[in-house]
Amino acid sequence: MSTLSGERSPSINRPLWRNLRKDKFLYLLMLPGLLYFLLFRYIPLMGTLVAFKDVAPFDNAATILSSQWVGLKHFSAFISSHYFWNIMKNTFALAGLRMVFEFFCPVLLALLINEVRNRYLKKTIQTISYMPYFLSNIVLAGLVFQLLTMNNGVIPAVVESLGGNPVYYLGDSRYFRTVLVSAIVWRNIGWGTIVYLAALSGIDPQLYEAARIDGANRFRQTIYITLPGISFAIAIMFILRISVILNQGWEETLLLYNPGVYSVADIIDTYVWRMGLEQMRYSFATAVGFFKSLLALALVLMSNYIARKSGQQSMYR
Amino acid sequence: MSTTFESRGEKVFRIANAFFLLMITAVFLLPFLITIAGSLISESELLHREGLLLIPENPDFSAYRMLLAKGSAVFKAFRVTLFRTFVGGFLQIMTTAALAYGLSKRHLTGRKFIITALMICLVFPVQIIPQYLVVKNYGLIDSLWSLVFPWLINTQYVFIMMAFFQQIPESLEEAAVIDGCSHLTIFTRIIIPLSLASLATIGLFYAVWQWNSWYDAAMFINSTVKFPVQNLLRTILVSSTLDSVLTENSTNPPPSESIKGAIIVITSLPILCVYPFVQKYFVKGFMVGSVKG
Amino acid sequence: MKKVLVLFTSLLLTFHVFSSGTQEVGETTATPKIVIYNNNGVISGAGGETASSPEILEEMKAWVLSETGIEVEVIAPVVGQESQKLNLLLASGTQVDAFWGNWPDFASRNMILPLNDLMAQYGSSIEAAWPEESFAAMSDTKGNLWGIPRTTPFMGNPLYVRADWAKEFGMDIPGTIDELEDYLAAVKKNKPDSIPLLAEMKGKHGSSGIFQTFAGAFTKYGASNWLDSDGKIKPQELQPGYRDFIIKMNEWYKAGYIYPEFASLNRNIIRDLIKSGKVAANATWYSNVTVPYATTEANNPGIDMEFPEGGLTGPMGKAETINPAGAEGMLISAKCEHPEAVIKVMEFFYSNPANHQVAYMGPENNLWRWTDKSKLQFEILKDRTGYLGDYAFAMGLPMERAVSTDSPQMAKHFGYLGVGTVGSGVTPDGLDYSRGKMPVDAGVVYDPQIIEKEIPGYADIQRMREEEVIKFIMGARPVSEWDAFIDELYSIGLNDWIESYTRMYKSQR
Repeated sequence: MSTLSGERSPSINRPLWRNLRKDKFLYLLMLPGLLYFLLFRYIPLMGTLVAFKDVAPFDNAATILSSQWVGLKHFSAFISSHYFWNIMKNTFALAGLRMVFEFFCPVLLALLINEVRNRYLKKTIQTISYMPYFLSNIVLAGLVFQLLTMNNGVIPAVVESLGGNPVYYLGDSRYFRTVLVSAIVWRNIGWGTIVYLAALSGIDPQLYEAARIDGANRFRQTIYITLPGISFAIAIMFILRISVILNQGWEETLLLYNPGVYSVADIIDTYVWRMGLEQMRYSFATAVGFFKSLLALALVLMSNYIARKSGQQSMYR
Repeated sequence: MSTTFESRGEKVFRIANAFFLLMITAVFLLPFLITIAGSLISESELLHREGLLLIPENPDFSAYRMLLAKGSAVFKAFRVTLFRTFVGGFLQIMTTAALAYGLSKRHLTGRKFIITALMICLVFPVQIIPQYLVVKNYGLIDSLWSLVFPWLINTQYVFIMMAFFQQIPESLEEAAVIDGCSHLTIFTRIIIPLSLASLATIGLFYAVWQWNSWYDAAMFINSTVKFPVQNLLRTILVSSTLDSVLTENSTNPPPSESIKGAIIVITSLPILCVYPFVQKYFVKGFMVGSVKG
Repeated sequence: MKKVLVLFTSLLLTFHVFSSGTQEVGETTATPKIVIYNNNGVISGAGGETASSPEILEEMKAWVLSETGIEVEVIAPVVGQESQKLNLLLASGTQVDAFWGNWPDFASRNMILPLNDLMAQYGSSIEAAWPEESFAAMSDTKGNLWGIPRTTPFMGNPLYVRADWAKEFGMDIPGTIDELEDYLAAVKKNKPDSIPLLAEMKGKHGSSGIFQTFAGAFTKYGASNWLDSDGKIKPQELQPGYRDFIIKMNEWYKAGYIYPEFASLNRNIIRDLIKSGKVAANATWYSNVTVPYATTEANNPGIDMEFPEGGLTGPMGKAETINPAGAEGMLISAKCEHPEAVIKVMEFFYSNPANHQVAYMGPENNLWRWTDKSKLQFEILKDRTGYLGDYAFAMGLPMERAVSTDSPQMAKHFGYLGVGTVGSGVTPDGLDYSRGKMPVDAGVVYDPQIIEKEIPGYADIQRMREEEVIKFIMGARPVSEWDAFIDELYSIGLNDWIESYTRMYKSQR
């Protein structure tokens, strides 16, 4: 994403209208997309104003604009709320766990799949590992419930047959995060390997040949050829991930959690959901959502910084 | 790659690795098998068997027969899902590609401004109530288009495609300009054919998203006939349809476990069948999209 | 062709975005048109988004139009997201003339109309149908009536046990907590695959599941706010004996009696478990037992689920807390242009149970037919497919009890409700209030706007009460920390809660 920083435009000295006319085809092409962003993203974004006002959910649009400003009242209410730190901790714990497992596991799995020599076996493993990705969140939650139910569920049965004492893992704050992250990883890991496998297939086989002649074993080849070969893909994926990491995982949480595990499950998005659409504290929920956006902004700026650093390196190597 | 220099350790690793991967594959597959088996189990079998059911004694298709009976809500819902997947997915990929292509031209006036504007959208997601208000003001409530337009473009995909278009050598286009081709011809004759794999990949992302979405329909659609199949699935999973006072009178309804399994199979099967055929495009699409080349 | 493809797409998109803005056409016809969001429970019970057939809906609409001269449009709720969708419809100013909800949530924000005059003018049958308590619960202290009732005081959480198993163990149906404990122990020992006690945290119509069934056995007030001797209203967790109740529940949980999923059950799972015959004792909402009872019997020949005569008792008396008539009812939007039309339509359904029957089960002779229309007896012809009760606006005991059927499948459910016994002087089990405790503040309305203003920590307090009690029952937090939990409640503003609730209570009593 080094491109985002932009480059000096060669046409900067020409008059504006001539630029516009010269590129009118490009602008025409972009028009529908730009219209979309204006009509469906920017206009609703004005709704964020209610975070600084006191608006009841039943007030109409006109009162949203005309009502009194209350400044940062809702923000300070959130920050001083009893569960603020708990929610922050859960939000970042989930994001962190997803980053670690959902981001690095695919790299590992791709490396392992890449080592398979038999073409058909490789293809079968790939095809099957992509399958879970196509399941919706609702189906995913359904499968989790079905596997974990204490009424003949597969996993409690397996735990019992291994001599363990099964509990209801979704209702137990010691296990909830493990279950949630496992389910998400199960669904996304296979799909996540695609980009790395593509990158792996792009590595020049002669490099391996040369290394082998130099006496490097498979492990050393992985360290010195394979990993550098896909580092660019890893960096790109990392950057893409981190900018949206706070927006992800809430629907799965919402479908799986229950009040007994709030202490480990409740994240900003589920909190916003309960406060906004269930308890109808609309201004407050918007303020909390806005607060999260500020955190996300910090992450994006950070990832852009990393991008510029890593982008430069790979460009000049 | 030559295999003649394989050491003993490498051989052990290779076999262990294959074994490990097969285990993982089983883990990927098992929940599917359990669901399929569950959809074929009759009430009586459910009562006398316990534990892991992978192979039903007497496969019972009554859940499927019930869900796929003539005039069933499933068919209506599928029509909506097909509409949003194909029409919606097509509009999504076309607008995304068009926008990304424009933005890939670094000389474009206003490019930086637009990119910053898109970045802001990435960080500040739309809140549901303002979104609902604009959808209503555009007259899209209860229209199938409300399943397409509010989430037409995924900002991330714009950036991915933009990065992709930037890798198409400028010289190709310059040569075409010298040959007297118009911009439109360049775009349709050169750029689009070169980006088919990439378009297919992002297009499939959109299609999968459309297929699996339910929340927008739940909020924007009011007429019961316009709900897509995911909402039907959700209703059955969340609040079993079959527990109404009256269906309790049915002499022998399939157990709700098998109905749930069957509706999962019915809603997931089509997309699971399609993707292996488009799979080869992903690899290409990703390769050009992410790897400098 | 290819050349124009992109341009075409662009144009199509632009066209749709702009053209669609002009779709709203103002209708100026003589027939009033009203829109009702039917979230009274009838459709969600049957699966809202799964759709009634459009033909039957048209037929129903035409029928209501021909009978009342009013065009009624129904919006079905989203299952599990009923209130969220309602909030969106209301917030966006979409025409919704009537909907179901807790009136205090809406009245204090001037979102709904008082109905006194309209009811006096058009609603005589509605007024006759519901008991005094129901109307009282729908009215404020100034006497404004804010909605048409949906609930009556009701015994919603009787403890059903398997009488056949009790007999097998040589026991009577357990009538006290101690007897119940013995029964549960016997179940655990003799029926290893069963679920000794199925309980839930929240049930229908605001019932509180496990608390509603058992709390009264250990506390004077049961699952109700507590009126302390200092005259203040306090949350139930503070009452004497509540800790003992939690300790008992924790013992039962540890002993493996309480089904471990109790905090995340939904009705669907509950009914599947009950139908399987595994449930030895049920402390969830009664209809989970009574509605699917025919299937349960078919699956488990000889099964017999009963509750103790006179109700379960404990050291502090009756265990069960009565579900009081709630503030939940049909409300009419302040933006409604034809409120009289809404009342007229409702009056039409309340004036004759036969009308409600059609609204509930669809056109006559399609899914059901009268066997004796004069006695309002019907029989069911086939499974409910194609119509989910979209027009059933008069839901609630009065109308549900007015018609009856001989279908043996319905016997358990209709028996509990006393269907067909109206006017006979018989008190059905569901209305036998002697079996439980009435909440001390039944009928008192706690205004959400006052709560939001006076109790800044309200959301935190509610969450802590719910979350920590679950943990105590599960043993995730030792009961020895109960006092620390109460202190934590005070530290996040329980005093505000008590003061505010007490003020509201006193102003209404």
